[in-house]
Formats: sequence, structure tokens, C-alpha cells
Amino acid sequence: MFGKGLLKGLGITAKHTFEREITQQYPEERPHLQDRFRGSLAYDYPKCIACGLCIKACPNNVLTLETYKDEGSRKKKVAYYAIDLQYCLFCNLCVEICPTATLYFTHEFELTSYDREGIKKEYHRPPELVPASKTAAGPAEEDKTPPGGETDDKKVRQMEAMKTALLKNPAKTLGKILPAEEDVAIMSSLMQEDDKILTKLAQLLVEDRDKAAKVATAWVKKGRSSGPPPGAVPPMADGTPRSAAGQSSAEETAPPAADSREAEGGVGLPAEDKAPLGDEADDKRVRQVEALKTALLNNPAKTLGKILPAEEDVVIMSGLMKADDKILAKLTQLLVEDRDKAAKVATAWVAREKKRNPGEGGPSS
Amino acid sequence: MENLFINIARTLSDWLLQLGLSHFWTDLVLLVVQWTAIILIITLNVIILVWLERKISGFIQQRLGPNRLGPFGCFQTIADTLKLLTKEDIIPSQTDKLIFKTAPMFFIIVSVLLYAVIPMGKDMVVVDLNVGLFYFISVGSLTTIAILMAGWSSNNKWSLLGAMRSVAQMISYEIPLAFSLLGVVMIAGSLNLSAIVAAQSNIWFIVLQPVAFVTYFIAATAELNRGPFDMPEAEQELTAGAYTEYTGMRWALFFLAEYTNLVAVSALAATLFFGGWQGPLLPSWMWIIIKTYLIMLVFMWMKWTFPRIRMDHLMSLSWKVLVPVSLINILVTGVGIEIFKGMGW
Repeated sequence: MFGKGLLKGLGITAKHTFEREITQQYPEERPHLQDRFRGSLAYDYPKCIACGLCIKACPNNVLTLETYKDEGSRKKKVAYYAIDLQYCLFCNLCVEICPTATLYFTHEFELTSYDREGIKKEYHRPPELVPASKTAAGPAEEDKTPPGGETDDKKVRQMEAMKTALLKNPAKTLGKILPAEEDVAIMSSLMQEDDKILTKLAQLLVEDRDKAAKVATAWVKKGRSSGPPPGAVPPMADGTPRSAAGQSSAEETAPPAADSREAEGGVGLPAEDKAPLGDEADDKRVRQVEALKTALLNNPAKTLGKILPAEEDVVIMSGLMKADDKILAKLTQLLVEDRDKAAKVATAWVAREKKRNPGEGGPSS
Repeated sequence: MENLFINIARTLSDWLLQLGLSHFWTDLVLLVVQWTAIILIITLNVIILVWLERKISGFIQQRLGPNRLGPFGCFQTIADTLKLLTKEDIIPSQTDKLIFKTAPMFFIIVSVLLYAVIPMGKDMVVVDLNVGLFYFISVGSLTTIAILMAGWSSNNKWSLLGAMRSVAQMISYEIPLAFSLLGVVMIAGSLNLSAIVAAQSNIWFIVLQPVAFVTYFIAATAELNRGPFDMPEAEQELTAGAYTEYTGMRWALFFLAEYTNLVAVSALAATLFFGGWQGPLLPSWMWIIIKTYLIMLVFMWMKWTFPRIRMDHLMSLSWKVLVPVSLINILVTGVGIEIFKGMGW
């Protein structure tokens, strides 16, 4: 009564006037986040043991896991992991259940993007590297068991080093065993296409250099004589002769992840353990095509560089791919099935595009 | 410093007389110059006031207020003004065009007219009317007509409701406003504002007439249509009340006039209750500015503290509280004056 309440109100506002402002000048001032703040979900690739518990725990099917079985250690490995954050409700169940603390919440909260795909986090193993688990996956401590049950740790490590060297600098390493430069080129492309060849060669190089030289020469000869490989052939299952030279056949490049397991009676991808072989092969190929597509889009220079020699052509081709989805699909398929043919087709497309707009470097659309 | 503006005026008039103009023309030119100065000051003042109001409301709500443009955001209002000036002038098709267009002009003219009688320093008053206070109150109530014009011509129910509220508010609060000032007039013995200021040379009237000041302050807030009495433009109920249909510069004129009124009413409060331009050390015109700004700060403080009052409460506050209180105040003042006279003061 008599304005006591009014004065009290005025007192409160007067007090607040001289208190510290709670406004945060957001882009300039970063918010102070608590330790347990749940920002974007992150995934620590090397730590993952592909147990799949997170997939089971997730209430919204946010997570996707694709695995394969490692050649040497017979362990499940991650081929592909995806976090589709647009469905995530940040419930923390996956983080809680993860036995190796692979999944964790970061403090990153600026997750906006221009499309739905933008918020999806994907972790790929580069398709050509899928079986080379140890090099790609970093410190995979549990994979010490060498192929074939051998327990020579040193040899395994040596082999790994050799593999890396072969992939990183094929000219130098192969130059020691192959005299002709042309042969080196063929061999290195063979290696990159087929991981088994790479593994074998590395092993031979470590054990016996002379033998390695012989085998390599034989592969190169075979690779040259066989010419463009016969296109889409499903990967060989059991019973295929596995001589050193025979492994270079190009059709096996399609599902590199799996065939060595198949040869031993195992299965490529544990997710489809019971699936009949034919289906499995198709499925694998589809997935490979998808992976390759992503690779083409993410890093066109690297992927296209293998089939198109000129850098300018690569630029044009990548422009074409981005402009037309059909071209992308076709190219991916060709690349999986037949690299030589893919190279030819790509060159033809680039030439056509060049003719269409001679002035520019890229596609008009 | 003290006579800065007076000297400028004198120099100007001397110069004009030397040019061979008659006294009539010299006075006319001087009057034009004075009015131009007042209008310029008002406009600049509004720019400062809007910034101040936003800043204060921010601080009260523990925000920062405008702070992007210039130091402490002080150029924000200038940018806003430029935006308003360049905005498209939209006049809705079903409006009463003539009244719609004249309402903002009328409003701003009436607001500026208030400054004619306010002494803005020693010997600094545009027209030293002997009924200055009466003039101020009567011209001040004309602003309601401008709001009614705007609300009526807009042909919009919200605008009309806002205008009607404004009129109802004015009718209710003009009475306690005038009554509360009567006490001051009785003590000073004059309606001339300069005389009232002179009467406060010993003691400010806030000490002698505290009840009158409180009544005046409340009634003035209602007259100004400021919160918590901003019924005519209650955003949550009437979008922008009488100003709903106005855009760009026409709307800006209303805004300008409202703040002009705020300054005028605050200056009047300073003149009537706080000794006007009188004060030590600083020049007189500085004192009236300081006092006016302090009173305006209180107006803003109140606006951002109190929630809007309900319409029926608004009415009952005026008729059941303020009118009786101000009447009793007049009675007590009259009795007091007679007693003091009897004691031989």
C-alpha cells in the first residue's frame, strides 16, 4: 500500500542496472561450456573395435557401422562408420556403452549446414586400403598376429613398413627389383588395385629380394599380356588357383577386402556371414561403388589422377561429375569393373566437353 | 559561458539592426533563429534519448543494449533515423488521407510549441508569457487530438481503440495534473514560469509541495503515454495503437513528438519543482539540461520497471486517488499559506 511495492520494484531494477550484464557477444565471445556438455558426437577411428554395441544402443538409428574381417588377425574391422546427427537426440547411450571410449561428445555445437547430408559425419576407410588395416588404422595393437599364424613380430612390422613404402613411393621401391620404368608403373598400378598383390610383394621383398624380382616381373608380364581385363566378373570364391601370378587378375580388384578370406573359406564382411556367395558379391560391389563415389566426390584429383594423366582433364572431369549424377554413377561403375575402360571413357568425355566449350576449363553447366 | 546564447542572440540582433532592418524584422528573424535552434536541439535530443532509453532498458534487464555501431552503440539511433527517412511512405487505401497526413505534423508542431514558455536558462525564454503554465497545460493537451486524428483516420480498429484510450486517459489525468500544479502557482503567486523559477531562489518547491510533485509525476507519465500508462500503444494488445498504420517518416514524427513531449514535461518538472535553471557554478542552461535529464532518467526507470496498468485501474487511480489527493493538497496549501501569512512571513 502507498507505493511500497512500487519502490521495491524500482529498487530491484536499480540494483540490476549496475550488475554485470549476462549477455554474451556470441560470435566474438565463446560460451563457457561445462565438461559434460554434449555437442557433436565424435568417433575415434583407431580405437573402434567394431563391436557394434553403439548401434544396438542407439534409439534413433543414428549410427551405421560396416565391418570386414581382417586378413591376418581374423578380427572384425571398421570399413565405414557414419553418424547421422540430424536424428541424434544426444541421449549419451552410445557413449556410455562404448567399451573403448571411441565415441565421445565434443564441445562443438555449431552444427548447421546447408543440407541434410552436411550434418552427417562419415568415417571411411579409403576403398583401396580396406584390407591394409594396420597401415590405415594406425596403432592397431591387437593385430600383432601375422598372417598364417606366424608369430614373428619383427617380420610383420617389417612387412608393414614395406607396404607403406610401396604405396607411398612405388618408383623407388620397385626400381630395385624392376629395371624398366614402364614395368614399375604397371606394377605400382597393380599394387594399388589389388591389396593382395601388395601384401605378397611386400612379404617377398622382406624375405627374399631375388624371388620378389622374379615374381614381380612375372606379374608385370601377365598384366601387360592380359590387356584390359574382362570387365565385371564377380569375385572369385573358393577353389581359384592362387599362384602368385594369378592373383594379379584384374577382376579381383573389385572386392579387395574380402577375397582372401573367401579363399580360406571365410567370408568378407561379417555383417553378412550367412549370405549366399553370389548375393554377397553383389552387395559388396554395390557398397564398393558407393565408397568409390564418395571418394570421387571428396577427392577427385587423387582418384581421377589414376585414369587421366593431365591435371586439366581431371579438373574438367570432376566438374562434369559434380554437374551430372549419371556421369558420376557410370564412371564409378566403370572404375570398379574395368579401370582401362574407365580411363578411355573418361578421356572421351573430357575431349567432348573440351570441344563443347573450348574457351573454358570446366563444364558450362 | 553563462551568457553564451544570450550574447549570440544579442550579436545577431545588433548586426541585423546595423544592416538597417527595423526592430520588428529583427525580432522576427531572431524568433525564427530561436525556433530553428529549438527544433534542432529537439531532434538531436531525441537521437540521444532513444539511444539512452535502449541502453537503460538493456542495463535494467542485464543486457548490453545497442552496442554494434560506434562506441557503446551511440550511432545506432542515427542509423535507425536514416533508415526511417529512406523508408517507403505507405498510406493505406481506406484511410482519411488528409487527416492521416496532417496528424503527425500536428503532433510534432504541438510538441514543439511547448518549448515557447520553458525558461532554458537565465533570461532564456522564447516567449515570456504571463500565463506560461496555463499555456503549457492547454497546448500539452492538444497532443491527444493528434493521436485521435491518427487513430480515427487510420480506419483500423486497433488504431481507433488506441486513440480512444488516449483521449480517455487525457481527460482523466489532465485534471490531477492541473490541480497538482495549482499548489505551486499558489505559493509562487504567478503563472509565469520565469517568476516561478525566481520564487524558488531560496527553496525548491519539491520541498514545499512533495505531494504535488508525486501527483504531477504520475499524471505526466499518463499524459506522455509512457509506461506503465502506455495504454494507447500497448504493443501486446493493439500492435502499435494509434500509430499502427504509419510507416517511415510519418511514424518517426510521432516518435519524435513523444520524446519531445517527454523532454518538455521533464523540463517543466525541473522548472516547477527543482528550481529551474538555478544552480551553483555551472551556467544556467547547463543546469536545466542536467535536471531535465535526471528527471527523464526517472521516467525511463519507471517505464522499464512497472508493468502496464489495466485500463479500469488507470481510471480509478486517477479519479479515486489522484484527484482527491491533489484537491486536498490545494486545500492544505491554501490553509498553510494563510497560516504563514498570519505568522508574518
